[in-house]
Amino acid sequence: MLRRDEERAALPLRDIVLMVVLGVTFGFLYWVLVQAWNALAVAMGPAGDLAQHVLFGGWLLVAPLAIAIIRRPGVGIIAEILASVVEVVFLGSPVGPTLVIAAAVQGFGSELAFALGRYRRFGWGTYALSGLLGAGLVFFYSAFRSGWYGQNIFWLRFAMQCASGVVLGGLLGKVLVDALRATGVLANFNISRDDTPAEVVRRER
Amino acid sequence: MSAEPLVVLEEVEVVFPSGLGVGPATFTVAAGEEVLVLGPSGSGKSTLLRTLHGAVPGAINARVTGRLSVAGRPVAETGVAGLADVVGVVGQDPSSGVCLSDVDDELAFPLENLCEDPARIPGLVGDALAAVGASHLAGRRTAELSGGEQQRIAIAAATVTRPRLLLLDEPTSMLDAAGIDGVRSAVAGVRARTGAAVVLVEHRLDEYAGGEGLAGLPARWIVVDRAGRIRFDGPATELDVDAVAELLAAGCWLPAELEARVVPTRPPSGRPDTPRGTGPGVTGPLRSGTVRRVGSGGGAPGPEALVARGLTVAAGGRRGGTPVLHDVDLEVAPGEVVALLGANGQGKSSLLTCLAGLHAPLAGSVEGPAVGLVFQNPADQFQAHTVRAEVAFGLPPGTESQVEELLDRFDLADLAEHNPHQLSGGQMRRLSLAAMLAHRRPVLLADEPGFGLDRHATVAVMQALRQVADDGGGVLFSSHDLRSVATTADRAIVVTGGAVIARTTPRRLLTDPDLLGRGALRPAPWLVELAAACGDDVALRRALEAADRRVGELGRAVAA
Repeated sequence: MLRRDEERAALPLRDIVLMVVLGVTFGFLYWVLVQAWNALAVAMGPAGDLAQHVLFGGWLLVAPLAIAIIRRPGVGIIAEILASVVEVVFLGSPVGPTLVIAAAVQGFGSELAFALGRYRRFGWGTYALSGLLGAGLVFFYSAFRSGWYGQNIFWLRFAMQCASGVVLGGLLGKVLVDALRATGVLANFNISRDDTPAEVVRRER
Repeated sequence: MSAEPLVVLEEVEVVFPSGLGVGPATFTVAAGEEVLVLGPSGSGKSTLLRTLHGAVPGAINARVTGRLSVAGRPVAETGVAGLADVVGVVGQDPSSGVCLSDVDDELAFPLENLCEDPARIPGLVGDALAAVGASHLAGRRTAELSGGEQQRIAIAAATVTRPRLLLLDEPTSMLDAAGIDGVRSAVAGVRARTGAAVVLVEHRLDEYAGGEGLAGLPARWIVVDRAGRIRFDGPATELDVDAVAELLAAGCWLPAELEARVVPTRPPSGRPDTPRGTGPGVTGPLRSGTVRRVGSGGGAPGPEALVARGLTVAAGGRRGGTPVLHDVDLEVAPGEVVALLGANGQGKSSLLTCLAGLHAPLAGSVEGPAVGLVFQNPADQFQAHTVRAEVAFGLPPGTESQVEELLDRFDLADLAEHNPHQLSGGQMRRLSLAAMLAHRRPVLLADEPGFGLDRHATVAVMQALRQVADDGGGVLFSSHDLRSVATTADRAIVVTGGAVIARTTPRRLLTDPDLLGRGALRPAPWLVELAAACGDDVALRRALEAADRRVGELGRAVAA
């Protein structure tokens, strides 16, 4: 558990650097996912426009990772925005600058699930809810931008996007966090402080 | 002048999530006082140092109880940043102590953080570089420096702000004789100019003392035992024979004059006719698994020998880099141990990585069997998530007993489930060697295998290298520790100024002051005397092995 004074204090430099590193790394990975999206859209033939909904969860991933490791409010949104900036500015995303707005909404949705648990609940359910909200909230913004209102597959799109969010943007996030934790690289971040039992008994060598 | 102590600890205890810890510690450090912290590898010395400036628990996860204050400021509240103007820290790993790409920027950074007047910064930077003997490194890029050179820059950066408390964690580990002089004079200079207090963790006490023995070391010693408890805190002169024996048994390196009170090292008398290895062998708390067989010694290089001809090696092995060694010919024959000696930056690591095939040489050729390399920085070679998995990495199934035997031999058995990156420096060094030994390569290269190790661990590591040779392999290792070289190596190669200047034996090297001077090597005076008193190489090795054996017995007696 973070102490009360730590919860209010500014983010330590080490955590800021980690947040930025995650944001930039996932910015690149998101761009790779866009290429996969193009390939899938071609493969799906006439249903190609639905490919974005199938893969959508992948673009949510950095938020739960950042929140789970750093355990402070706001880091998910910032990491997601950083990722989108990398995509737009450095990698020429076809979506363009409005991607940053979408990223903010996605990050907010992902964070909401953890915020509802007061940043202390990190089970499968919380991650799944995070993916659901991250994908679901931004859907309405994307629908407005892309003109999906009035289409009779509107709710199909919504359902596919939410399902993708839960699986690829929520549950996959927990799998990644657990895998990272197993390597030991997260030993000195807040995630490991919460892992430590409150009363550690000293043992002799 | 305030009479308040600079550092105050009251019942400070640090416990890691794994349950291991150090403390409880209650002591004070007065302004301007010098303290030496010693203890066996993994006992918690570095942890204690890191707690003093707040890195534990600020950056490293652990539970810290008790009250600690530095310069009147409670460390738990200020954190690391709040002490930045009064504390200077030099860590164990030089590459992690250097964070900017240019040497000048690296030294200016702490001054800028403290809002120093920009006009004064270049002058202070120049002074700090001169104090550590690194003026020739001004303007260089830090990534191109050797390990020892980086360490000097790290010390300069820690002292450029004239801190009131200087924390040094094994600052001499990577350094040659000239570098150690630089550390000593830098620390003395800081103390003279600013009256800073110094808390020093060090293994290589004789080298740090520079031939002055006890007088060259801090007067006050704090001894930490293997379990992390403080065993002794007071003037070194108050250590009686029993206390010294206990320190030796725990595995601490001690200055020769202290060690001689308990375990005198003298040349063997009479004609030694028992072949090496048929005696009980050196077993201490670190058990050697097999009795050493009589070695086959060297000979003409056969098909299993590693042969290098006309090798020209670039610094760091970079393609198109500046050559650091020219036209090197060397052979490592099966059954022999060869030591590679030379000052920092002379190309020893580059040569080893080139021989291992990691980099292509600029010219020349390397021929021979598959080679195993133990890296200078052990963390570079870790592949697995636990110590046991690391030793077992790449081995075929069914070799579990061999893995357990290696873990036992290097005293890693109780750390078998830990993550390799969370071990102490010495423990990582032992793990990297154990993991490489598991593969039984015909030729083994080791880059400073004894770095940062206490006595028992150094003996175990050197014995392991000797064992590889006795089992028919060839070993080439680089080292600054002439005692280990004299105990283990059959031959010694000295590199200086871009070329090999000598191919000799350890005893002949130690008794040749001209060669020692050209190679910038400085053995302890007692070692030189012993080498002169011994008739030949074998006698010298016997004498040193006998001393190691007696210390090993002390250790076993205490452990029993």
